[in-house]
Amino acid sequence: MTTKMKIKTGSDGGYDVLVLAKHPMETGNRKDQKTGETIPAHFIQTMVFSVNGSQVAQANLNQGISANPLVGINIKNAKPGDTVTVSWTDNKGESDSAESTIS
Amino acid sequence: MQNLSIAAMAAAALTAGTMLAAPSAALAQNPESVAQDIAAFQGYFKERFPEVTLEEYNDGVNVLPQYAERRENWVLLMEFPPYEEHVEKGREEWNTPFANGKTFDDCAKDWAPANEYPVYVPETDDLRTIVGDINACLVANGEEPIENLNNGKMARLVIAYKEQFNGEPVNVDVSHPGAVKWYEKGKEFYWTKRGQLNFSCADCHVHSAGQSVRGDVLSAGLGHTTGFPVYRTKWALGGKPLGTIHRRYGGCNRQVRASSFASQGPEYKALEMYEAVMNTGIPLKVPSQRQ
Repeated sequence: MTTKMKIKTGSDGGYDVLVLAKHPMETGNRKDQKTGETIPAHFIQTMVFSVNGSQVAQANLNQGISANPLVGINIKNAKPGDTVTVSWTDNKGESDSAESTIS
Repeated sequence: MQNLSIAAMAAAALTAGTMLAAPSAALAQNPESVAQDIAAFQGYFKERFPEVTLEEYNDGVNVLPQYAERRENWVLLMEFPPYEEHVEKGREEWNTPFANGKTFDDCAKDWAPANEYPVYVPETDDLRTIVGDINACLVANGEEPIENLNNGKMARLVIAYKEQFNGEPVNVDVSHPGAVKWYEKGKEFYWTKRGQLNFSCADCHVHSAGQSVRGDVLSAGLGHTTGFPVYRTKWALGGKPLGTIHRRYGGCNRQVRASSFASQGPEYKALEMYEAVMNTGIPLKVPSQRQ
């Protein structure tokens, strides 16, 4: 599981932060086509965005989100040199994070 | 007035919005008639989609105004292109030395730039494609040629070579009469109706470009060769996301309920030649993403 982040200048002066998390996002409703067994649910629950260590946004994801979700936020009041961090945790307790500096 | 031939008639017929008859092989076979064909083909699309410049056609269906409402989705997708990991894998495979210590780079020194393919070889009266050259390189260095000419490793290796020429405009040499013969063969293929649905390539990608087939928008015939091998979302669902242009040709033929021809066979090589010549001047953009 990898997480990629990209920061772009937004159209309204802030910064667009885009995050691509590689994650299966299993709903728990699907069955394995060969064995017929239910594939256990496995999805990202929370995704937290921070600027310089302080939290600015939190996304609560659930089974309805597609695999490899692309999540984006717009940050105002940020300046070049600030560090943006995103971290997520899924229902199995697995987590990953990515960090990028505004240029 | 042999030169007037199909190109001029095509232009007239197309502007009138009528159906265009399949060209006959008996018509003029010289480089000038090819130049006229290019002007007529590109001119048709210029008139049909005036807001799209020639260079932009390497983005395929995504540049068409009929696709505008879905374009944003594609722009977002390109923020983290899904083909990135495959491109990296392809670069690794490209640089992995053979058993004799040589690499693909040693072969590629003698190849034409990717924007000049397919290359006509007068000695054998054949067309060289990058796929064919990669396998020839493997054989020459005592390796097993790649059997699957459609996807997987072959597609990745073609990307690894072609991406070095991204931005270079397509420029295929058709000065040799033999090359023009191949071109005419491809042109005939392009404009010939086939399959139970009785469609030619041109029926969808010239006459109906930009119109919908159920949920999809038909791409313009311009720019087809510039992005291949592509990452195709439909193919990704089947687990084999990459495909060479001959894989797509086969799929296209089967979709009109015709039987497909062999990849790297003379039919598809000729078709690739015709499409590449029609794309003269459009910069390469490899790989690309397609629906």
